[in-house]
Amino acid sequence: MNPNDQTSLNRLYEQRKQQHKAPEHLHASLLSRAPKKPHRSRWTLALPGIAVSLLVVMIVWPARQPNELMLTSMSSDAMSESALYEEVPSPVATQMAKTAPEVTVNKSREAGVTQSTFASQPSETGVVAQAETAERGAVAKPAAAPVKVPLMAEEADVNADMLADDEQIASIPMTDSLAMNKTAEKEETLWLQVVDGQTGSFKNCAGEPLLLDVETDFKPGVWVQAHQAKQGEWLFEALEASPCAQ
Amino acid sequence: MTLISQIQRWWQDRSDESFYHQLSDEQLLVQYQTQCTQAALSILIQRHSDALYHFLLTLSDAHLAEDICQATWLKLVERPDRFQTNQAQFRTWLFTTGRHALIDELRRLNRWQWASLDELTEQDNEDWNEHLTFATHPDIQAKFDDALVQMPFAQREALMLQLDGFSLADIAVITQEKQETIKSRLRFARHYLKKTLEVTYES
Repeated sequence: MNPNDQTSLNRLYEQRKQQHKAPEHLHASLLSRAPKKPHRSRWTLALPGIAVSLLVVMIVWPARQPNELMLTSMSSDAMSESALYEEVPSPVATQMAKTAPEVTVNKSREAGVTQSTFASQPSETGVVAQAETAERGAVAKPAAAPVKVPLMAEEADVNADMLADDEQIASIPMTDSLAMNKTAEKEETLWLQVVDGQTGSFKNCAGEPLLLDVETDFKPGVWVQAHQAKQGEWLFEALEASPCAQ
Repeated sequence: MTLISQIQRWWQDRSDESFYHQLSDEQLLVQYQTQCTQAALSILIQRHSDALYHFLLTLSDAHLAEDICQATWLKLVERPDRFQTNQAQFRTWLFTTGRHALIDELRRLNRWQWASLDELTEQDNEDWNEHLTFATHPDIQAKFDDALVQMPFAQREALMLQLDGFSLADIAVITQEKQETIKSRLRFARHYLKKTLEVTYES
């Protein structure tokens, strides 16, 4: 018999199976009943985590840097006689410095000016942090990180009139005459009320006592306008009334 | 849904399909169990749905076969944890579940008939697995179909499972019978086919 005229049992079975396939809609019906969960690959699942981590690093890390650098150490040697060093901190550091340092105002007859500095506050490691406040009108140069700049008299835009009334100040003798003289050169016109002209005792508009290294013939209670010339000499001009109301 | 997301979805499904085609049945089921991946379930259905339907159809009718096939798959869809990989192969589990569901339904419909006459004879020869060829004629396929219908249920299911590639051990698991019993049923089934169809060769 010709082999082409023969068929096997397996072939009969396969042909039968081909003729009786499962209905087409059965497949779709089963898939529609299957619970649907959005399938995402592993890298897609990890993507939000990576993005959050990057954001945290980008936001938190730079914010931590100024806080750490705010406490830039300043050794006692840095407070030399030739110059005062002032930290120009970032805005964050400035804000924190407003409450941190103790303010001292030195009124020295020798220098004849009001000199304000901030007493340094020792940190835990024994280093010194020095800051300035914007309330005194000191020039705060914007900087990404605190830097040390010499606080020359020209830059210390501080005078007694600008001292806030509510500030807690204490008088501490200033031994650094050179620094005070330099500071005095910057002093501008002061409006003062004479307390004792012979001893150079005055009061400013805030009622704070000031001592200048001058002798005047003004009577007590008289308002004067004081101005220091370049040579360090004080020039006074009597006023008819108190200018403080202005 | 934007066009871009549709394209992304299409690409994702496409790459999933090509990936899942390489997995075994058990791996696909784990994917479906753990991630409810429709692509894995779809491939499982593609692989076994036709065979299961044909098996059930041979033991019943088209309407019942479709219902039981759908019910069997739905058991897996809704409770994929029913299948335990350490107990049997997925395909064996699927046919076992389908067979049980069919018998339950036949009993419920009072259509269940069990002709137990095949376990009486025991032979040592290998005719339960012999290769049969038949003379080709135009109605050979119809005769084959008729012969299956006339065959007792137990012999029919054993022969269908064997022709679908299940081993003797797998058939014993599916039918919950001893392997010797299965051998006997296969002998009777093949003997019946030899009588019905024109045998040209047997080995």
